[in-house]
Amino acid sequence: MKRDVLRKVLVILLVVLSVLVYASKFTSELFKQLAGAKNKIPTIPIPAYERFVLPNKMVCYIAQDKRLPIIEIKGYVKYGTLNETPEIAGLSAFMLDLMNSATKNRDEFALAEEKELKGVSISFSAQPDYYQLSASALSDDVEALFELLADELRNPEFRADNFARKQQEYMQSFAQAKTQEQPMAKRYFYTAIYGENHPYSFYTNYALLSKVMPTLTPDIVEEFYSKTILPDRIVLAIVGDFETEKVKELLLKYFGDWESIKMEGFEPPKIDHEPPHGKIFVLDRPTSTQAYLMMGYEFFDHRFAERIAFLMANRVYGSGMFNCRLMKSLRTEKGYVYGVSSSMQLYEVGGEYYVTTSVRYDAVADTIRSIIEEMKAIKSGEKPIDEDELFEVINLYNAQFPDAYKDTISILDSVVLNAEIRGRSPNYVNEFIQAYNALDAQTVNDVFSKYSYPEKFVVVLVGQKDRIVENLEKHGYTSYEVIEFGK
Amino acid sequence: MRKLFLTVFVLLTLTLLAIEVPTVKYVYHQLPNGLQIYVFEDHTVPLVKVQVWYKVGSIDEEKGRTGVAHLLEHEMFNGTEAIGKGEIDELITSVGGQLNAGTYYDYTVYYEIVPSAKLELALAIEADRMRNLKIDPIDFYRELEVVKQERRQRVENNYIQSGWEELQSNAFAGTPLGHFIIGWMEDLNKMTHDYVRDFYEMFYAPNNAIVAISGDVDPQETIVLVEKYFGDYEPVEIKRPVYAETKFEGEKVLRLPRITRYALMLQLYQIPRGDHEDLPAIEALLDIWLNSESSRVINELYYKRGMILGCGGFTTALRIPGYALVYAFGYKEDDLDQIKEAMDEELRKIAEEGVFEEELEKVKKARLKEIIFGLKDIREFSDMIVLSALRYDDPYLYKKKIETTSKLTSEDIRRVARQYFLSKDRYVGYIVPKN
Repeated sequence: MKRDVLRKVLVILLVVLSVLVYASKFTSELFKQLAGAKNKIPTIPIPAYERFVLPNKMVCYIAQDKRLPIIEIKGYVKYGTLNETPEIAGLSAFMLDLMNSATKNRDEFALAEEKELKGVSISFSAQPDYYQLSASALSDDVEALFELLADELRNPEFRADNFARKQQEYMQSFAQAKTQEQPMAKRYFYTAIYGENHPYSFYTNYALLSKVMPTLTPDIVEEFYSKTILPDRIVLAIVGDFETEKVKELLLKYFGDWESIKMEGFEPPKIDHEPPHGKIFVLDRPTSTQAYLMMGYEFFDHRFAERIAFLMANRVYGSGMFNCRLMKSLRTEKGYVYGVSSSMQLYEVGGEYYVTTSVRYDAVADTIRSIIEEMKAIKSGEKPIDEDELFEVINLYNAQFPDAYKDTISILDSVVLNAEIRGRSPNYVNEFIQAYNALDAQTVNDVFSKYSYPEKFVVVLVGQKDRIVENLEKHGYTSYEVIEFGK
Repeated sequence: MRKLFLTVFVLLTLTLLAIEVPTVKYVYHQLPNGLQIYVFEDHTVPLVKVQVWYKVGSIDEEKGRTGVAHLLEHEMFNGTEAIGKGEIDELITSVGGQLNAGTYYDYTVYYEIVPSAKLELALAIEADRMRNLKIDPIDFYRELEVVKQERRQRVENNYIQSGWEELQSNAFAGTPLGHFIIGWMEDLNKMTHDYVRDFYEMFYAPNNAIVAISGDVDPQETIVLVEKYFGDYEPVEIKRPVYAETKFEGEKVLRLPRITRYALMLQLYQIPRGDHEDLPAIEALLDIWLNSESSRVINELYYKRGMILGCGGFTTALRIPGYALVYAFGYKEDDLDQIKEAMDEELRKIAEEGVFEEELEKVKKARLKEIIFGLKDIREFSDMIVLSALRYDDPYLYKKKIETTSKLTSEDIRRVARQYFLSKDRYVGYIVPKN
């Protein structure tokens, strides 16, 4: 009996001992010891490239990369939706879509089939300050890639049977946008920030877009095309497994005889609008089980001198990562939201700053208040950004930046964007790295304090109006405008 | 130790076209406790991705407990006995790393992307939270609110997701696919921290996981580190719920009103599990029938008749029999019956007359391009290999699929069209504008 007891005690002791030994394996000291590191300041290796200018002034940056049998193209047309007027709002995106659908040499089906047989992908998109293009293929199909890209850029067919069908598609998509949370919010937010008449608000102004689309004709699109898609406005980054001389031959073969037309200079429209600072819009969406929130104000253009310092400060405030102030407050501490982030967009003649999240109805007012209070806490110096927070952001950038530029096309694309579109150095990506590494907490606090405007927030809420209003009223927000569903 | 390493050279010898795809290399090792290790060496940038893949997902949940796998994934960031609340994120961000996780029907994966010098930190965190998770009741119920918010945001307020959820839950009622991964709100409302702990202790074990490391590392040193941190754990007897099975018989149509101005048709068809030899032919059929920009349905219903705004189809291929989802966007509800009939007619033509050689060539070209462009990022490419190992114990599945695709014939496409789609044993959902 005693032996049994002793055996049991021994077993228990062994178990306890093993637990203690086991438990000691993972300790907070271990993790502290394993963590903590200052990452090296990276340098992005700019590839050897040739800037090849065709006689028609089309510019091509060409770099070899023979690691994989592929070829990739990124490119820009120096003409954006900024150049649209209310009478042709949305025309850029519509035209680019038609260009990628049919050409004078190939109808819709033939173009789609040939691209798929050759493994050629081509896409166009309209951005505020420029149009973007992207194309790729396996290197064996390099000639087909250039031939098809040239056909779409030079010979689009706007008189094909698809014109009316595409118009119908766009009308349906505008009607759909008026029913979905984020497009609904954007429609009121951008109009509030830029005004009804500025191009930066056109692409989310579905009422305007719906009015313009039926008035567009093949003649209007054709004329617009002839004034916008010109070789001397195009700049390409071309990377892949090829011989540079062969690519130059192909560029001359397919684009060399494309003549440029002299166009008059364009004066971009200034933003002549005073946003309704402090205003709250409540957009009714009857079946929403939570509220979508977008709040922000007008900001600077891309020349904003303190852009990099502000960017770093904003990462601390609202990067969307778990360690930013807004996530700590609204998700980790309060459990109100799944995600929340703040962003800035800087364009040629202006920009915007905004915070977005989705939040349950009983926390709407407190979420708005918290977003403003967290900004004020940094601005006023009550809770300044400390060196550790800034270090985390810089350390993250230093670690992850090489990953964002690990393929040659990403680097060459950045060279082209900065040198040809933004008027910066071709090596801007490395200048940017040096600039954020030179920052200290005092500087980013000063910049965030100077350029954050908690009193300016325009708030747009989408959801069941009664539930949103009830929560706003309960917390003292009595001034708001309710927009009925479908308006 | 060195003898235990099995170095595998994977040569993608594609016979589709005359392009030789570069070699992908990885090192494999298994610990005595069953933990499998895959190491992919890639020195492109000084980073490493550490992943732990658990063979557990929403199909392993019991009735009335839906959403527990995903909720546990959230809980895994709340700390262990040694790591306090919020510190997992702080430790990784302190070294300039990133981390996240994802839950699917049949797996859950956690990852960190850190400077390669910090590999050991990521491994130690993953090892600690594999068996030592702390589930504090206060943190648990706050995190539960976050998950409910995620459900509202991603499913309830999205007309496609909420309609799809209703259709799938009807089609697969009483089976593991009878609910979405995030679970039902009523089940989340009654979830307890004790139940989540039981689920964790059952499934988070070395013999139910794969550690995958890809990036700027030495494979042999890496495996030594994995053994250092995971080697002491004992295997656990994994008990999964007994899977119910269902067989669609005939066509059932559900009308699903939502806030939308599109009319969207969804069709669910049953397909075999993801390693079945018919999967490449099924995926090729979907491309030829629907997905390609010059597909049969696009040509007939979009280009010629202007009846649809778009269409497509994809497989949800799992370690249990899954489904193919076919969809088409129409302009109005009244068109959907006609669209359905016209799509069926295009399928009938394929099943009876077969497909053209050019159509097969387009599929083969697309697969080849997808694989070669995928090799731009070995860290991403490795996911396909590891996931096949986790699901089917077959890391080479992708090679077999490529080989099968390269040999596909018109008869193969006809056969799968008849076997899986033509009988119309399916669930159809009409997501239509709500008044």
